[in-house]
Amino acid sequence: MDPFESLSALEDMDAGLSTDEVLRLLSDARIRTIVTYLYDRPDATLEELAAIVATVEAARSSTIATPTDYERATVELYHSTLPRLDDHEFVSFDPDEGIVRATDVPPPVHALLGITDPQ
Amino acid sequence: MNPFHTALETVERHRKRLDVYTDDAEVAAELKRQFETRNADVGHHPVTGFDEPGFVIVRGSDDEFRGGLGLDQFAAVLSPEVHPPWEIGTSEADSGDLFSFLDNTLFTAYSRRQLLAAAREIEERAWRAAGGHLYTGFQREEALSDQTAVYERLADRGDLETTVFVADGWTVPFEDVEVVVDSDGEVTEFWFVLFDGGGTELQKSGLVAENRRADRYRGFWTYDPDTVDELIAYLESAVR
Repeated sequence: MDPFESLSALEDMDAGLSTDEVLRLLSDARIRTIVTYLYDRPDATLEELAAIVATVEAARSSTIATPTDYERATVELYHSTLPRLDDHEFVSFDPDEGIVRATDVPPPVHALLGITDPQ
Repeated sequence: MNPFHTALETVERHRKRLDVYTDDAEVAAELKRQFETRNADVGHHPVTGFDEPGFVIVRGSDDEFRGGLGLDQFAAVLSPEVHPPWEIGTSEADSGDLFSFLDNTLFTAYSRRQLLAAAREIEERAWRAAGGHLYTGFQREEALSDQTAVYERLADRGDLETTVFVADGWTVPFEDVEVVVDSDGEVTEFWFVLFDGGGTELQKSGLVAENRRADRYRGFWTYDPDTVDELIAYLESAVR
């Protein structure tokens, strides 16, 4: 599916979310990283996702993520990114247990992120 | 406890875990192979949908996050002579600590032949430097007599000084090599080769091994200057 097809699939889907809302969510690099990661592993923990987010950001800027970067990502994910994804029903986030589960990510979102199953 | 025991325990305690996230199974298999004898466990986690070649998360023996980086940066770290770790950007100056496990390589089941090859690598550094000081301890008397010719040659090489530590009561065949009798048997329970670098930090290197059972050695080798310095200081002050 090319990006324009994905977009029109997004317009057509009936997920209780507007295209604008979805695109606003996906404009956040951390959200894109989390949605991409959860595609392979729908059950994850806050610590696991914070490690992934900090590392992917470091990889993109050719640096090394430190324990401080990891802690910052943990705090940010806990207070902002994961509740936001939970509000939009992409994931269910249990802040007490630190457990994250991908619930209802609309398939056009994956296509838009360029995720395709390896053949 | 002498620093040889302590160094061995420290290296064991600093065992790390590398979680490799990539959809390239060959890259993951190569890293597993490469770290088989180093002080790290490698896990492969296939991922789809990331643009990057992949990334690595380094965890301590307590499972804590110690660092994370792209596979291309990691490759640069693995060839320290081309890109020393400290040249790779980080907001904290702790990448030396993060990658210290690469400097201290633990092995648990090496054969005598494999260890000889590692020892030879250090002896060759000393030979090329033609200066500095090489310290060697033998665990068995036959091992010493096997190496006599090699050590006579090293002792004749330029300004290189060689000191050999032997257990009490051994027949010592050397003429040009300085021989120190370790009467307490403190260090000759190890097979070790340490080179002080001959004035060059990058050349500092060492190997410490214990013979646990028939033809199986446990120990580590290191290019970490602090570890090498500490072990040599102990030999100079406590044993000599």
